[in-house]
Amino acid sequence: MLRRRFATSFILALSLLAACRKDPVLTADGTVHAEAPIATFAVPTGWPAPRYAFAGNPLTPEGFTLGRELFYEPLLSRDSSISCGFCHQPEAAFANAAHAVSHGVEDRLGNRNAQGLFNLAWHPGFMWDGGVVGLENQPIVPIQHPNEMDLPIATAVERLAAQPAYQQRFEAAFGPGGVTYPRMARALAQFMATMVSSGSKWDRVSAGQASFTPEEASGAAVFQQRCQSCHQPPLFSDFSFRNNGLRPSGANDSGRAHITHDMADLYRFKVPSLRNVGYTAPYFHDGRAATLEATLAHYADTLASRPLPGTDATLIGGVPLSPAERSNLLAFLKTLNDPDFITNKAFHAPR
Amino acid sequence: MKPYLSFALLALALAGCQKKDDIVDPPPPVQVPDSVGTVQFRYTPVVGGEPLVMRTKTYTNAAGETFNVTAHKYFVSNFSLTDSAGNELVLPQAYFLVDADSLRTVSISGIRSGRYTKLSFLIGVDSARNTSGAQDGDLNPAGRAVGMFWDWSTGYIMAKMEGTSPQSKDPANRTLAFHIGTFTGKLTALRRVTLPLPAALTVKNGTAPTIQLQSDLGAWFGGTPPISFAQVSAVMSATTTSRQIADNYATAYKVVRIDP
Repeated sequence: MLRRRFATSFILALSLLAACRKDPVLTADGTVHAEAPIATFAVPTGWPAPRYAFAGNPLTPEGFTLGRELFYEPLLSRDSSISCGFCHQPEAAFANAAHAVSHGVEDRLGNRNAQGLFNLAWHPGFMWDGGVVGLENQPIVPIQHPNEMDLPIATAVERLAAQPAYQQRFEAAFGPGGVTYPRMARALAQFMATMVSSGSKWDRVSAGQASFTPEEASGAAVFQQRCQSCHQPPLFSDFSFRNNGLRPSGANDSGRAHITHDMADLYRFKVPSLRNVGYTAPYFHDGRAATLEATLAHYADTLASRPLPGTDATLIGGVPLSPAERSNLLAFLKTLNDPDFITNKAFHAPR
Repeated sequence: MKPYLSFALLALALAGCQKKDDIVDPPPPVQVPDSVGTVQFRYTPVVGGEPLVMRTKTYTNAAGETFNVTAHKYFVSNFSLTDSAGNELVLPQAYFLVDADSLRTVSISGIRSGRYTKLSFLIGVDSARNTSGAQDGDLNPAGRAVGMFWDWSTGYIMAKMEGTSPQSKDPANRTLAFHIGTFTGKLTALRRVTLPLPAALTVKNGTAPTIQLQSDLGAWFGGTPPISFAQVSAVMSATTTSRQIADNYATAYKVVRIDP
């Protein structure tokens, strides 16, 4: 424990030093000038080891800032209209504010809600169905998907390679060899893996630096009893796939079964993290619940009155919540918001 | 200076473990450059023993349906050689894409000298490599491996055949598209092939013999019952059909000769 704490503070000290560095920013006319803060990576105290440990992809300021540039780069969509940041907005903890499902090029609609992006280095798999394994393998999916950015990855690489400024930045980050797909994926992984959100009130309370209000404390007790078995702290998900009893929509999204071809996985979706849940509305895999109140109502009311076969065993009969418990639970859920994370300029568009 | 220092420390530490009355083993022989050699591989897709002719030639499957081939590709990896005493040597890591439209000879260097009688390799890309991040070379999905990677369910298409058939279940375009993938579970497409060599392969410094292999695309659609294009003309995820095809192509390889 002591050793871990030492290691953490050492990494923290390094990050603080690194945070003093300023990085160049590419502008539309190709010139480079200062400044935008950069982020580094540290495992918060008490958290498990991350799954993405930058193996073969050492984190550098050049790699991070290139990844950020690419995250906000509309050239990566077929008609150069949208970037990753179009559906992953900082103010929504990098979910898509007020959009049930994501919008792609030409306003094409997908089937699923764009999830918030944070603490990705700890996720065993990505997407609501967990089909994507490995953080570096994630960005290719929305870039190529016809309902999202609709651009073949080889074309994306060609477009970047045609820009001298990108050639220069790829080589600054990864050495001679110019623009390649694996480099692009690694730069994006550097940016995404550093998006660590661990600055919520819940974190401060856990560290003994703050205390809950009476409502929050009551909500915490309800949460521990009825929600935590799936939404396990400190990441607030156990990353399992479960059927939470939602009636299949018109899209008839089969969920995890789409990947495993196992009927037992029909309508199972990844348990989402509840960190920053106050910012990531709307909710559920297809964004059908506009508010947290509506989300709780599904668990407390709909599951009790209209059960569906296949619903997860832990949810049979619903999750009983009195009006007071709901309002306390909502107060508790707000303590999972991390305002410092969503306002951290290191993760915002550099231009 | 530093590496020497750590090496000296390591040596001291190791020496410290030695019991005083132990007899110290002689150091292992130092690997000299001429104890390793290079082997080349050339895979040629065939149908019924004749080199596959793309697009223009019409073939008949076991169900009696006619088809032509517009694309045929597969990965090979995880090579090993076995000597006559049965010792298996795992070769340095290599992943090659065989593309019927641009056949080439590939090579693996740094192979320990010896005489080998069996060759083994994996058809496809092993599970570890599928999930260890963005890949380059023959595995680059924006390069040579374009169209050979499932992004939505991470993993390589291990082998593919595309073409057309008048009997295809697809009435509009009469296309065939068999994309055989998935590296886990009951439907895994990974198959390991072990083949006797027609003559002993001598690996030594300064030579680069070529193992000439054939893969029979005609075997893909066999089985009991054989695969009928009227019933299934496209496989784009792991299914029992893709498993049957993987079982079929696992038997479709042979070494025809070794060129010195």
